Amino acid sequence: MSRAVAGVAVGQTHHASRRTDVSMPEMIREAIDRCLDSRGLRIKDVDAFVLGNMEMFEGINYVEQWMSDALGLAGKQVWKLNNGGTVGASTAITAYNLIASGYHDRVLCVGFEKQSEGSTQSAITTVGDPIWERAVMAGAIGNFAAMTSVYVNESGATAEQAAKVAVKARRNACNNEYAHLKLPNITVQEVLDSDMLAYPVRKLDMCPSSDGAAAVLFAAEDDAKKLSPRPAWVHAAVVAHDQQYMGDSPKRLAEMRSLIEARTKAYKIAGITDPVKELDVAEVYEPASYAELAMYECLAFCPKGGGGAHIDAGVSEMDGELPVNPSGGVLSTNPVGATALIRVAEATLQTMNEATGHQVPNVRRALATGYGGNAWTDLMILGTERL
Amino acid sequence: MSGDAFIVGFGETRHAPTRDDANTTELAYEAVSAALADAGVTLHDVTAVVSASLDFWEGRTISSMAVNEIAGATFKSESKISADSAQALAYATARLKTDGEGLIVVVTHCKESQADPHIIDLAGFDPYYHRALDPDETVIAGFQAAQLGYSLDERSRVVAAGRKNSPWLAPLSAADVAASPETSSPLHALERAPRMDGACAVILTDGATAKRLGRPAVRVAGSGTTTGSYWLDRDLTSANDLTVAFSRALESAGWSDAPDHVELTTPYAHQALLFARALGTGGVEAFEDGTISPAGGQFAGRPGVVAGLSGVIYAVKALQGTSNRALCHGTTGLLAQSHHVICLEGA
Repeated sequence: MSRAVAGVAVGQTHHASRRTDVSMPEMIREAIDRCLDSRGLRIKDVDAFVLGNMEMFEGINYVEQWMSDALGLAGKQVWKLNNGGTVGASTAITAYNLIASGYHDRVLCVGFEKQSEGSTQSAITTVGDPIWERAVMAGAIGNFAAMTSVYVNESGATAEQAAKVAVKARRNACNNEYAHLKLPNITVQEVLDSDMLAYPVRKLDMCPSSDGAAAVLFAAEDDAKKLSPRPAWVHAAVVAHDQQYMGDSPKRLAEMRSLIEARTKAYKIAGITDPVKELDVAEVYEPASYAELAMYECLAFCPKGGGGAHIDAGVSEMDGELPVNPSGGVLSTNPVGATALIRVAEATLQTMNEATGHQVPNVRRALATGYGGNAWTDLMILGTERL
Repeated sequence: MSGDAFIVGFGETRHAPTRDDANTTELAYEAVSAALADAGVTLHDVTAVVSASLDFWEGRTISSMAVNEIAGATFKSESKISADSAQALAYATARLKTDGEGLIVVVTHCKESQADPHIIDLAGFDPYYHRALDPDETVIAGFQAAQLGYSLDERSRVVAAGRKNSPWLAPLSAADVAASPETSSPLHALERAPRMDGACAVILTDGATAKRLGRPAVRVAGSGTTTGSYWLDRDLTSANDLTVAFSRALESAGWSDAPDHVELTTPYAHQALLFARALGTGGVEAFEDGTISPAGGQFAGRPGVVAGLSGVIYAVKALQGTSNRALCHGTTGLLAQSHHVICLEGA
């Protein structure tokens, strides 16, 4: 019988394109200290740490060992993960498993990336098969544009509808102290007029490149209740993969099979049949505006092909029936190793009623996703009720 | 057997200095397909995958992308550990205990022949103060060996003991090791475990499934892990972090002392002696009489990262059909800063 697990504390950095004021370990300490200070805890009060980051992005091998002294982890039980965009959410799901199984009692998840000190797009190019794929893959944008073209063709979603997502994200970010890209006066037209990166994705359709870190503390059962007045209990923690080669899944974004698989399993575990009514907020990993439209469909927030109409109807706005990304989402903040953990962190904050400035009223259940090039989905559902 | 995790199958490739007959995916599949066959299951029976690989050695970010499909993770879960594969087995055990049931493939792979060790080592050094000096692992390993003061004779005998039983590499004498070229004083070239290509996989499952499969099962009784200090001004003559990981593993297994069978992962000969001392399992004689790493350990040709799970496989072979115990170890880092210890018990 596994134990109940909850998110009980959250910390994150002020995210920016270049955090030249701090080294990478100092930046990460900022997130860890905010997280632990919020509950009056110290490093010594934590049993184990799960770190998520892509070593090749900053070019530091064994990065968790390099930082062990600076982070206060020397002598501690450290688990190091590295699985792309999803990695932050993977640290949370790993923490859940380590606590639920009885391995550890308190686990601190830490996701981080200091992209200004590395070359993320060069490293991302190596993600493809070296013989069949790498020669035609150049970073994230071109890859994403190809998938977006298929999605637009399949769904009929328009550039204007995608631009509404971009506007929503940057305006929501203005209410989030820690967000990177805050554009209070951004308009749909401004998005449509921004530079074309790779058709049909324009500059303001795409997420930024950020420096930043996030930390979330998970704990078990009664300990969780002592640490937080309103713990965010894990109702579901699911991982699902699609086939790896682009050609094996030509629709990709139009039919995100790993996300559909993950949400089907997670909704079943959590007993959700009508997500728009039974969830109160969602923090999804949308690397580009079009992706959020596709995710509405794959998460069953709307019928297939209805992503554009869903944003038109305002359902995902802050005052809508199911707000999506009140934090500003990935379109506003994207330190890759932390990005998916920020989704979990924001869902935890919303559930704990501690999302200062962008709290959705009366959150009982929150959803968070991690995204790995459409081939990999992490999905968590958190709630105020201990199941 | 409720709530426990059992190894019911394993597969290991032919390890060699160069496996240019197989790419990474093919190499991993060689191990996975052998493990599935050994357990009497197919990819369809797999409920989740846990992998271990290091991106710098793979020359590929998110390097598990190369193996999750062939390990059965399509529309299922795959988790990737960036550390020695012993830690991946520990995490798979936690996953299985959370779910209460399932069948998990633990897979690890490395083609050390396809990488430039100097560049990879260099990327592990502090980017602000050390990297500009262009060091590599050998330099600091020599620094450590000099401080430890084990004799060349002792160090050479450890290597020779490992090579004696290697299924993959020809035997070496202690004299061969001592006569190999000096690298970083006092080290000689053959004191470094050989760079190898290979992959390993094990099948982990719950008690009910293990019983249904009817295969000889070995229980994962416990595990412990520790990441140590990084900077070189620490006490390099101590392996206290291994001692702590060892204690954590014993505590989680409910064992009061170390078993007779120990599988150590030892990148260098002097580290083998240091680790044996830290575990209280003896000196060079313990390697020669087979108390430690009876199949030769990393000196017999276990690739880095793969070494921990390779040791587990050897221990499983020895434990099947018995009620004996074994302790397996993996390590990662420029001077073995992270240690992972697994406790196994014949079921």
